[in-house]
Amino acid sequence: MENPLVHASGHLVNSATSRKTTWHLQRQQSRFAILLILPTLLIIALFIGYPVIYSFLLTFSEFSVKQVNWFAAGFSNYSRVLGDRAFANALRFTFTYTLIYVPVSVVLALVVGVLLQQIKIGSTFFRSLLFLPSVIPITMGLLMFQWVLDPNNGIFNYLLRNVLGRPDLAHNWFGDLNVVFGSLIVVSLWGFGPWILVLAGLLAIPKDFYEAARVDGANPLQEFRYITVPQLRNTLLVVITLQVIKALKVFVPIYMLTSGNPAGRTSSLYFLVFQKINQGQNWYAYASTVGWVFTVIIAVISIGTALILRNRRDI
Amino acid sequence: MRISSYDRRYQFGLAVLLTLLCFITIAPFVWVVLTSFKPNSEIYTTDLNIMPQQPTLEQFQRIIEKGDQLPAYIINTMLYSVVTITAVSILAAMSGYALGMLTFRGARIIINLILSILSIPWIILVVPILVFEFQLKIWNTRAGLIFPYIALFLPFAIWIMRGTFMGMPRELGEAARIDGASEFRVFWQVYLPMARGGVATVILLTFIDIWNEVLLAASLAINPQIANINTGLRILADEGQSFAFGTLSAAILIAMIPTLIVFIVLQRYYVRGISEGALAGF
Amino acid sequence: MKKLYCLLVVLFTLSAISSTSLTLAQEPLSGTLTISVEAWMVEKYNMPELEARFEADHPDVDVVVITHEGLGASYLNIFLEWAQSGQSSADLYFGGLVSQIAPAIIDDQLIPWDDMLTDEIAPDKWISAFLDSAYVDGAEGTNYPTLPGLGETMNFQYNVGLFEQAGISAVPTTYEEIQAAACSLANLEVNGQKITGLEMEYGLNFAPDAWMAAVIAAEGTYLTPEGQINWDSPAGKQWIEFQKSIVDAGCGSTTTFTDNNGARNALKAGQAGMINASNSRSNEGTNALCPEQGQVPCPSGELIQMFSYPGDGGSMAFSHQIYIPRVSANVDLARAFVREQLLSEYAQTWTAINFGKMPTIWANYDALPENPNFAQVRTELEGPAMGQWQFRDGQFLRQAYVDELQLYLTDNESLDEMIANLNATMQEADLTLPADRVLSQ
Repeated sequence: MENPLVHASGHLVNSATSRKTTWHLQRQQSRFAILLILPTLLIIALFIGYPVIYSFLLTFSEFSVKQVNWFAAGFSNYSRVLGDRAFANALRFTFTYTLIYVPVSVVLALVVGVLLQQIKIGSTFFRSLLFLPSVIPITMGLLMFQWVLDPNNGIFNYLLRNVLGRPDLAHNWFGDLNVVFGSLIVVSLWGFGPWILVLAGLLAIPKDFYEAARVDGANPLQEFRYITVPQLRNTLLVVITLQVIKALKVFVPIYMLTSGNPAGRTSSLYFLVFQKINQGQNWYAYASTVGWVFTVIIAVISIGTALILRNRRDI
Repeated sequence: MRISSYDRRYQFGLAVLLTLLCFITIAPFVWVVLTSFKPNSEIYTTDLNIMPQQPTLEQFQRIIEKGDQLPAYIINTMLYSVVTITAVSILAAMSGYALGMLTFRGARIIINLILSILSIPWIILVVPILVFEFQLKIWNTRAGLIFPYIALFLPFAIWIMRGTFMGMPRELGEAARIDGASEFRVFWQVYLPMARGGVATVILLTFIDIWNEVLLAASLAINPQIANINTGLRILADEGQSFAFGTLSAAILIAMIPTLIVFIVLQRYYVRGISEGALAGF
Repeated sequence: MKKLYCLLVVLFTLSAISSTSLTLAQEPLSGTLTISVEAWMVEKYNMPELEARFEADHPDVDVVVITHEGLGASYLNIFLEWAQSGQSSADLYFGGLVSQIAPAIIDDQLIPWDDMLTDEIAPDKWISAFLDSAYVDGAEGTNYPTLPGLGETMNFQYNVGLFEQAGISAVPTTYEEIQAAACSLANLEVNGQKITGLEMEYGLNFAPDAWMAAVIAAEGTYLTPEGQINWDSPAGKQWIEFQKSIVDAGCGSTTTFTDNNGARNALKAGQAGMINASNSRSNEGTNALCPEQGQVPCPSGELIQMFSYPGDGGSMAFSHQIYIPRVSANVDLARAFVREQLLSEYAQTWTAINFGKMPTIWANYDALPENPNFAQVRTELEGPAMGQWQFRDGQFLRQAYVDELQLYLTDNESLDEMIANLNATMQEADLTLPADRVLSQ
């Protein structure tokens, strides 16, 4: 990232303006810049800045319907997090989910992206259809899956029982501790991950590369190995980072489909905070504490991934 | 002609695979469509059939009989989109220009601030925003949802607009300034018209985000009169209590229409918009 | 002289005005009354009709019905709204169980109903199982911060036709007999499909209540003498073990782990022979299975009937409460609406006949038509019935019970571990009760 200040002033010197005018122009610019940015800062300060500070201070405090006893709790909320089994469960679920969801979704996205890059007939048609899951509101997709996978009335179990003749394969897909994790992953993968980003990366690879490979007699597999993969590296690293953050923040599928059940074993960190808020006003301070621990975890992991990304890019 | 027949087989293989993927994508829709044309006695039964035995429109009728409920959810979400998108694009264009094109003290701090906001999980903001809105007496009103939306969708939009403006040549502005153009005119007449692509991306991404927003809508706008589509579908599921999926299927199909229209109209911007948006930060 | 005359005229007019306003103490009601009801109640309590009737009786009154959701943070947000903004979105609230409203009672946010409980709605006219669970200890005149609007008991319900097909002749009275019935139902095939023997509630909405009911039926109360939850109760353990043996034997499913409506859907669809749930499910089931669709009550009789928990005949009784926040803008209108409409014979019998939600006043219960299910619920209401727990952390304790129960049922925890964890959770919880509240006045 370049520093706009250096860039602009360097440019001004080139255009041979006197120092005084430069200073005058800069003053004018900063005044105008501040004018432009002021409304944004105001609304962000009110609806993000103030809440962030409030919720951070709340982690050291006690909340009740009528008043907040600031700093009355000290660090007790934080020590409570350490001993909380629900937190440990949610942490484990969130990490397991991330570890499985990210690689699978990225591979799927890669497959779909490459297929769409390679196909020459009906590419727009396939693209539009495959894009459908990203277009409709997320709750609709989840409700549809809830219905498809309904244990008694859904078509999936019906097909297993009556068409395949395998009633032993029919499950209570979101209520059975053995399969619920898989069900959540599959439902989250509907739409095949971030293939749009992969496709955009693929389309940016110059066509001559492939033509040259063709001339040399390369097959599609070799093309993929020697052109696509190296050219796509940066895109993939970005996609992985984004997917990691997305997976760590998983909430809506849990909220809509399992409410953290069975036995609280599908409760993600995000959902846990939500659930604690719903337990009562006397839980607000503790919920904020869990929320902040969660925020720090996300920050550490995303900064970590970003650092890896930057190092890789230099290679 | 060995190569061309190989090519044909290769393309055919790709088409088969993609058709399969498309089928997986469409399958849930098909089941929901079939359900929406069945009476309850065929939906919840020991004698399940895939096809409706006595096709009926009663599920759609029941949704329509509920009056303005479902239309209200759709119209509310549209209203939230239009107002938020308008405010976000204007404010993001202004701030993005200031941060990407102009030089001023504090710019770096503001940029870092905006970046760090992007990584905050919204859930930690819910309690303070609730308390704040109760005190302002805007909880459970449309304004009470729109203000946080504007604030929360702004940082990413600013990031995109800043990237857009940074990619523009500075010479144009310098030339205009030498010709005596005011800073405002440089912004308004020189650069802003060039930022159309960025604005389109912002509009598109904000639109998708608003139609997918669940958390704040479920906390800040809970009356059916002002609920968005996601809260609304949950209210419909809750009201139906048992045997909910007949009407719910019909509701889903109806509620899908506006997003599909937007998708069809803006189809060609989608791939570019989304990838530009997501990759903007890197 | 003229001045004095003027003064007299003024005085006369003034006194005339004040005396008319005194004689008109029963002014006609006017204004806008906003009522917030839980979303599903609009239909099941026939709110549009009650609204129309009230507006017809009071031409100057405009009734607006808004809704709130029952699950999640909805109630907490409403209570927080009252406290923080000093106003309320609605003047009158209907819906929410005592366990959900307890925080508002503890924080003294509700106007007591005591002074209104006279004549035909005097406390002794109510079904005590419902009214007693709304009673809060404290100074006279502050004992009823909420009123039960419509009530239910927890029991077992079975599909009469499927019972016959399975050759079950007598209604089960012990857990062994229930299990035997469940397993013979589970062997039945309907349209070539195996059905579920006994569906039970394992979710947040009813699992704790099902446990309470089992303990009340056997031991009369689920609380220890110290007022804590008696997790170690033998009847409670027996109940949990019974649920596990049903699941393990394959005679019942666990649909309700994640689907709150799993059991009732299965009963209504004829996919389950028996369920354990709140009493109104029998009414729903009968209506759904009735061959003469759309006729209520079903001309073919009650296709779903009930039997009580094994024990001394009592059960757990819960009700959806009616309450007015202290910050309400229209207390008089709200009270009039409750007295004239919500508690009227029309409203309470209508919802019982159509949806099986029970009246909370005996006179209205007596006005119900003959029905074996109404009679069955009546015996439970006359038994040692008791309501939900009312601790401030009631929801937290309910959630903990559900988590532990599901872990136990899926074999990941022993019963002893489950009970130990529940006892540990109870030590963490805020057990403040409505009776401990500090009254502001």
